[in-house]
Amino acid sequence: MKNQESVVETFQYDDDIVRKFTLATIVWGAVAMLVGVFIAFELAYFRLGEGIPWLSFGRLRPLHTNAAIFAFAGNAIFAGIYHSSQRLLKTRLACDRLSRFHFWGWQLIIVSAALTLPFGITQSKEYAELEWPIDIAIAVVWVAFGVNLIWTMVKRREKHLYVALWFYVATFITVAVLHVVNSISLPVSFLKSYPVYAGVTDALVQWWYGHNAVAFFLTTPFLGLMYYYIPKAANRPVYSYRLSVIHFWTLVFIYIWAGPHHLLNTALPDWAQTVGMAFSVMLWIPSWGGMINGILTLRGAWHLLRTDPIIQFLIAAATFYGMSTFEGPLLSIKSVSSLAHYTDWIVGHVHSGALGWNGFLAFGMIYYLVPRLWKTELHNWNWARVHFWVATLGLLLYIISMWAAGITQGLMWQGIDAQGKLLYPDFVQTVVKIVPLYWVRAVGGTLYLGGFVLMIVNVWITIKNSKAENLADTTDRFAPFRRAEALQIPKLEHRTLERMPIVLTVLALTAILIGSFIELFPFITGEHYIENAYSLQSITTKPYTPLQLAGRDIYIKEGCYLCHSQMIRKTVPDVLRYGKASTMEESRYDRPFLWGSKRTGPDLARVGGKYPNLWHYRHFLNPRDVVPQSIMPSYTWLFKNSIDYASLNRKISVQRVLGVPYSEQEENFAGENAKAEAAVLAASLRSESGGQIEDDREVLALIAYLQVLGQMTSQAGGAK
Amino acid sequence: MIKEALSFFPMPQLPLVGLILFAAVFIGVVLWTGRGGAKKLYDRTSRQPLDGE
Ligand code: HEC
Repeated sequence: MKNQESVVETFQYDDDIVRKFTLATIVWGAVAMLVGVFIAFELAYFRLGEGIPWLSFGRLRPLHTNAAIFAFAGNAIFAGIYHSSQRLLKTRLACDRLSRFHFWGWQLIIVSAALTLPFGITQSKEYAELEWPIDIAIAVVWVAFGVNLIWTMVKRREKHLYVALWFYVATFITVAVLHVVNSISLPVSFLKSYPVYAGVTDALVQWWYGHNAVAFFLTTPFLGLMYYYIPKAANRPVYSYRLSVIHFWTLVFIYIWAGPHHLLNTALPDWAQTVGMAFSVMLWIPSWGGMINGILTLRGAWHLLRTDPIIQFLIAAATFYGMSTFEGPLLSIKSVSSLAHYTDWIVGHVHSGALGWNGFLAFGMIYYLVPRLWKTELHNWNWARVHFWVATLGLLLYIISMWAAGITQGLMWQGIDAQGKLLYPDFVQTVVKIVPLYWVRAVGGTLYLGGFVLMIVNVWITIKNSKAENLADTTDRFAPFRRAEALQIPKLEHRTLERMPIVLTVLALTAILIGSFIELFPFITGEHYIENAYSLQSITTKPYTPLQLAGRDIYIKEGCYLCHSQMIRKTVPDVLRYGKASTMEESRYDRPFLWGSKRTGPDLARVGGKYPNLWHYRHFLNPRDVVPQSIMPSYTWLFKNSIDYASLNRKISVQRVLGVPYSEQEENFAGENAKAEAAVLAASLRSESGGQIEDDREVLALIAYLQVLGQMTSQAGGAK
Repeated sequence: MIKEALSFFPMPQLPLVGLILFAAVFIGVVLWTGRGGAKKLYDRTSRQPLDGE
């Protein structure tokens, strides 16, 4: 015992970095929610932001999701991880400089997201929209975070690694793999690139990434935080530590497989769909194990639920975790997905996770951290209670309205009469029905934001009441296991203990690589199999003309894919409404794929030839001119902006490198050819409309693109 | 059919291998966490967040 005493060390935690990340969480949270509420009102009232490109729904929606996930949740994760890891490892973070680099680097990335996305600079892959230079910056900063974390673990004084730390490690390593694999692309210019994967492969890689961004950016780190802050706030150990270990390994192993549930009934090969569905359903088990473990930690202290707002937020978060992880596997069942996919039900599902699970956990954590980090009482605990109830009410309005909207849409899209005809053949009939629910959702979001603002004020006053000398780093004392035990335990075991963080990283990496490999490998390497099959069946896919390609890039820039899918599923209602189910070969050269994930407007996979050019022309100028009840925004600026002809040669050149069969001739004359094609289109529009239409306007390229959708493939000797 | 070309390639066993591996991991973790001595370790480790600041 005396020996033990003599080796106790005194050290200080880096509180400043946690304060920084906490404040960043609050600031970016406000931005994310404000943009979210704004675009919610845009869907309810299309006039909002009319005529201003960077305020349009398609441009702002990626800003909202990126701000919510990477800025709000991201900073919250870093605050919580850096705060709890130091205390769990009984050591200061490994490197103060690295921590600062991580902090400022991350904020710079967020600022560059805010400066690019509203201007249509995007790769269009959901939650991976940022262009390649920012992607590289993300990779660098993320590695800095990982090195800092694992290095701190190696330096630790505490012998064993508490389970929360395992979740942090899995987060680091998996997000690194996901981000790198999904972001590989060839640059066209400093702010434009095309992914190396095309069509179905791009779709699979993207949703392998997209789903696991939810799993390893919004779930595993928050579970780690839950396993730290619930015991802390309730002052009792987690309900079952054994369960938490089982929770960890099963979750990490299963989650990585679930991506294909975003692509059910699509042109993705069936075996991949089945695997995605099976593993998604299995996720029920670890998710509920984790939720129960979190909530039952409160055993014997249930009264705190009535009195302590921190506990209220944390336990509500675990409850919403349980709810969304119940809903998720349900939605992954193929038949449920055929009803719910592309509808607002999915939007509701996402928000019960993001606002209920991530948001509430972050709020609980912030109310826990702020008084401790600024070493003063929270200004007003009653305000925190009001925040909780207002946020809960807002969230319930949100979820329930989106359930109602989603199920209404799903049923109306599927409605078929006795003759086998669609009950609601005009898509807009199904839109009009849910607009009132968009208002309810927008009000719900506003309430949630209102609660958040109350927290900002509360935190602001708390900080102002704190004194400068309160900001000194917290001091702690602990006997490092190395010195205390070096004499008593065998050398070999001792070394294994020191290496534990690395071993853990490798094991977690192995667990996620197994699923990734089995799902992705056949696609990434199997291209020649598909190409062979195409040529055996004499299937040809025409590459886009330069003008169509320019139009496609405008479609991406404006975020049309955020309201329109381009994937007719193999379901009767889809085929009845939109035509033959989409096939793999149709998106053979699509970089990126544009299958979409939500149908606020109708599917566009076969819209080519459906309407005359002039219809589209008038529709973009003012959708209400041709569809009186439309809620699609007008795109007046497409009639003012000129097509970017200059970049087309380079674009075609990059596509050629990626294997699209353009000739050298086509590459060298891409700009000229596009101009000629646009001139013809403009002339025909002029004669049809009798109006003035200049030859180089963006709207021409977009129309050229829309008119070829569904017309690219043909099969010699058969119907297309 | 192209679809068949692709669905031939991965070999239907692969996902099955995944399932079996998962079963192995799951059973392995359940047994590993139930081993003698784990309980004492877990009791101690689970108190880690609670001691100190
Ligand atoms: C806010 C969601 C939203 C956005 C963003 C949006 N649309 Fe739409 N779109 C709709 C809705 C709703 C309809 C159905 C009503 C109508 O026809 O106007 C529609 C209809 C259409 C149609 C008619 C399809 C048919 O089969 O009748 C086309 C074509 C179209 N949109 C193209 C686009 C393009 C191109 C963009 C991007 C520049 C775009 N949309 C952006 C919501 C949107």
